[in-house]
Amino acid sequence: MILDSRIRVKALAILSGLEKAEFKYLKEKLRTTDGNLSSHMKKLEEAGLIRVEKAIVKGKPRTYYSITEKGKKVLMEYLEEILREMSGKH
Amino acid sequence: MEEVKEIREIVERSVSQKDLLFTAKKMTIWGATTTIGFAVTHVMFKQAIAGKLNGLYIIPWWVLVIGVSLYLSSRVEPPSVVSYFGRIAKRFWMIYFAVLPLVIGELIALGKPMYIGAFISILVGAWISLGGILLGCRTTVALGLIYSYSSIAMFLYWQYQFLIYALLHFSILFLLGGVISLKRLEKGEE
Repeated sequence: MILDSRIRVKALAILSGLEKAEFKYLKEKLRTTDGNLSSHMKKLEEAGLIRVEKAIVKGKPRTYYSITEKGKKVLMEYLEEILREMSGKH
Repeated sequence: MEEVKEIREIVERSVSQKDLLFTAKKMTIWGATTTIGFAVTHVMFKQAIAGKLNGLYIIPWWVLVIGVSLYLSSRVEPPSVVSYFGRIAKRFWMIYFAVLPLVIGELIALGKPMYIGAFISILVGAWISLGGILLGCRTTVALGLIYSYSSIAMFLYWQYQFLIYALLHFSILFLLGGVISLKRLEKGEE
């Protein structure tokens, strides 16, 4: 399952409240390394949950991420599933 | 349940996130240019009420001030994060600066110079406070109230209303916006 990783869930949650966020910003928020974040973001992109936008700003490459409609839906379903599991236990 | 709570908190925080360095630079630019804008408007206003200058010249002056501010803002590196609230707030400020010169010019042309500052500050103050309530930002609500209450001083000392405006913009945009954002950044706050 795509959301079996805490970093991917948190990345989606951060992006769900934003129009877009840069790679550097997500790295700081998620307290992870470049390589680790890259691989997680690639998986989210391949699953169609996020959109990637690359730009050159003052000669430096920048990567921006934004959540897709599918990404919002998957995150909501994931949270609903947790709540269902919780209510099932009680 | 803890996970759901944590995710909810992340989402709630992210909707109002901003790039503090970007905000500080923008606020400093707009604070500095509009302070100069109002200081010059004060001189133009005095000339206009003495009948030495057409009050409508304030409009092209403000077009220049806003043009310079926009140019300088465009030189700032884009933010690392853009929230939905940030986008709304940006549009809000743009409308404010676009409407401001028109209202000043119109009121001078109508021969009601002593009401200009008080009129604008009450309306803008209420608008800023409303924006703050909608965005859930207490600082913005307080800023709106300061704007509204400044209308009393602007009405009583109407000859200096644009200097009061210059002081407001210098203290709110330049000092509060620019310097405090930088201080928060240094402390590592969000």
